[in-house]
Amino acid sequence: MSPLITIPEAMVARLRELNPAIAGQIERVYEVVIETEDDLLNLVANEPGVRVFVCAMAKVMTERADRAHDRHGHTFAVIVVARPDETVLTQTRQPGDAQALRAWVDAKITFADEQVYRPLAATTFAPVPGAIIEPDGARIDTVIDTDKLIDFGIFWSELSFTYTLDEANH
Amino acid sequence: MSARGVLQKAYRNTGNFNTPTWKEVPLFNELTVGLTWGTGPVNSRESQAEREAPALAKLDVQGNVRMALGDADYEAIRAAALTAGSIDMMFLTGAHNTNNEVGFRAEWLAKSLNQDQGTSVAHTYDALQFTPHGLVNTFPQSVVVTNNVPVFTTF
Repeated sequence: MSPLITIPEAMVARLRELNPAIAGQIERVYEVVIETEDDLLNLVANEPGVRVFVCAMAKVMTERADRAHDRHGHTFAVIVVARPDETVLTQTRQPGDAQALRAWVDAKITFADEQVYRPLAATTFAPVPGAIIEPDGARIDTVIDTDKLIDFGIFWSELSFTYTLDEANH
Repeated sequence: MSARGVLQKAYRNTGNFNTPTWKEVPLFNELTVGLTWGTGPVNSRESQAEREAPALAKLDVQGNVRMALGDADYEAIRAAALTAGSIDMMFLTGAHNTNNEVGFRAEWLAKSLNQDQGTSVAHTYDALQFTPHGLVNTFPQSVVVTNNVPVFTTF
């Protein structure tokens, strides 16, 4: 099976292991299609409906590992989506009170960083035997998409991970 | 036709020197096989151009080898380095059964084997240097593959 399948499956498994309460909402997908507001809102129900999507993005040969193996980088996007619950929304609707939403957003940023980014960026995490993340291979590309937050009340964060793996060249 | 580095070959002799059995060692990444003549000046009033006379040829091999613990080739190279023993290897421009490929063969001393263990190293290689071993009864050879077998000429 291609590492483009086995690596994201292992990423999903690792995230489910660390986040058992939302294990069913972490999945591998081919892409996340957002064409309408409904597409976006239907992605995730109100809290605790956090969803995490793992998607294969690219594969590139980066260098020769040795004369029998080439080194390939496998890149995956991870998207964290969440919607606040009614309590937060109600509080947020009170004039001059943005603290509740702010605290909720901070919690989601912390979740994306500590429960998604760090485990998948860990040097000790080998999604498949021999795969490793390079020092510059993990990135939070979008900490929070404020347009989606303001327009639709959605927390949206994008991360990317590139794992290198040596494969036979003949 | 030019040879691409990734298609060039290193072999380790798992037989004896006179009846070798060549096993390809694919662990090399960077590899430079060097031949340098030591020279002495030969100058005269007959010419204002400096001239040099060849004395001894220095062969050496430098490169890096992927650390592969448990791999027979890696362990053989590491053992040679640890004991300062000889390791019989042949470095060719191509396969050892492809006519006209050329290279060198010797019982080498693994003169150095250095491993960068820095935290930024994602893939571990050992930098090595081979020079012909001076305490064996064989001598370095140049190689030309002829009739699909390596033919050796002692320096």
